[in-house]
Amino acid sequence: MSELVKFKKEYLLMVSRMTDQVFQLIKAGQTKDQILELLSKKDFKKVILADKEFKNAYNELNGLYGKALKNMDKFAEISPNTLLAITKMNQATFFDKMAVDIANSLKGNMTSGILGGLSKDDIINGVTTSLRPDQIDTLVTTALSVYTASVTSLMADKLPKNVSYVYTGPVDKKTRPICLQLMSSGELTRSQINGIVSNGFIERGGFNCRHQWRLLTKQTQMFDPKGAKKEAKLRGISLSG
Amino acid sequence: MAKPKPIDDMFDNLTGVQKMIVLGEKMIGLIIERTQRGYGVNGLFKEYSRKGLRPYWKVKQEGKINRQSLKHKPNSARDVNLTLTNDMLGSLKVKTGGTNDEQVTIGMPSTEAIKANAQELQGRAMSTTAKPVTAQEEKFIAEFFDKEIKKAMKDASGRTRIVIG
Repeated sequence: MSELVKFKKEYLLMVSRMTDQVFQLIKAGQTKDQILELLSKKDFKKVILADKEFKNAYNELNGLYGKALKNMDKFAEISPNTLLAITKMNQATFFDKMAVDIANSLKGNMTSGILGGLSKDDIINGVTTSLRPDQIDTLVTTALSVYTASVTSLMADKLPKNVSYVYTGPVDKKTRPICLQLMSSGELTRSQINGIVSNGFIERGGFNCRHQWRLLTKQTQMFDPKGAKKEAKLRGISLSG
Repeated sequence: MAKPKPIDDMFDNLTGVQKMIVLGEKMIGLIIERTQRGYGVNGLFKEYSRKGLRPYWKVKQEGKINRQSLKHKPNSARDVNLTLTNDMLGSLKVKTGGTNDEQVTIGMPSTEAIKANAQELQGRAMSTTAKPVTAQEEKFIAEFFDKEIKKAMKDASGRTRIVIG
């Protein structure tokens, strides 16, 4: 089972277990006030990471960084300390934030659910609707994609400054205006890319972006600047920046 | 500001490893191009199943899958291009491990490799360990070495000593 599939499964199970524990308190005779006070005092990030199965799955998800590293473009050597720093920053931006989001969603939905007298299933539905498993997919996909791009960018430092990159991926009615702009710009150096969009070489079109920067060779595919211009014109999007 | 130049045009000035990376990037381009034409390493991809009320190819044809590339919708069950979002083919990279002056390794992250492997098990192999590239791609590699690598060696011949020891 892949790390991501396992994590999503354990996320749903953990939400169920946590909600169950709160309902055990109700069964044991605790009042709404007592439960709400308890919920308000708890650090939910600590609470969810104290759940052994969930914590294991969360740690395995962090292991994806190591796997991602083995699959990156290689332009030059990067020091282990730099890689560690990038890893930690990316973990803090995405995975730590995801744990905080899960904790906040759980705490918020439990509090409002207990106050409103909702059933256990209603509370679970509330939590999993505010952070759905497919949104976790998006978050993890984007995290690893940004991470890969960060290291690619560092490696690109070692290539000649005027080497050209092109923006590759689908051009269709779903393509974001910024992605149409980047693709229609044609061949760009890395500094030109970052001049169009701040940190555009790494962040590209943002969350869930379907595009990649690639070194331009005569064989590069999925690069369609004319198509991007045509699509922008069709949708009335100005590409002047 | 420096004018962008394709890496092919600065080939002679690259280091050995960088040359292999260029070859890897070119191979990725060839594999993506072939895959999107519907050809695997063993020939035409096996067509999609027509079984069930809503077979996969029909769902893909509707174009309503999240993040789906609408340019790659199939016209029939035979229209196989292994492109739904571009995540899998877009993730093909020159790999850190296994690339040096003498060889280049290309691959994809484990999350995407699972998808490629599932397709391979269904008769749609982009590349296999036993046969990583087609005969035509092998020819391309041979010509690339003949044309580019030998040329680079020739250009440097006035300064390079080959020591056999």
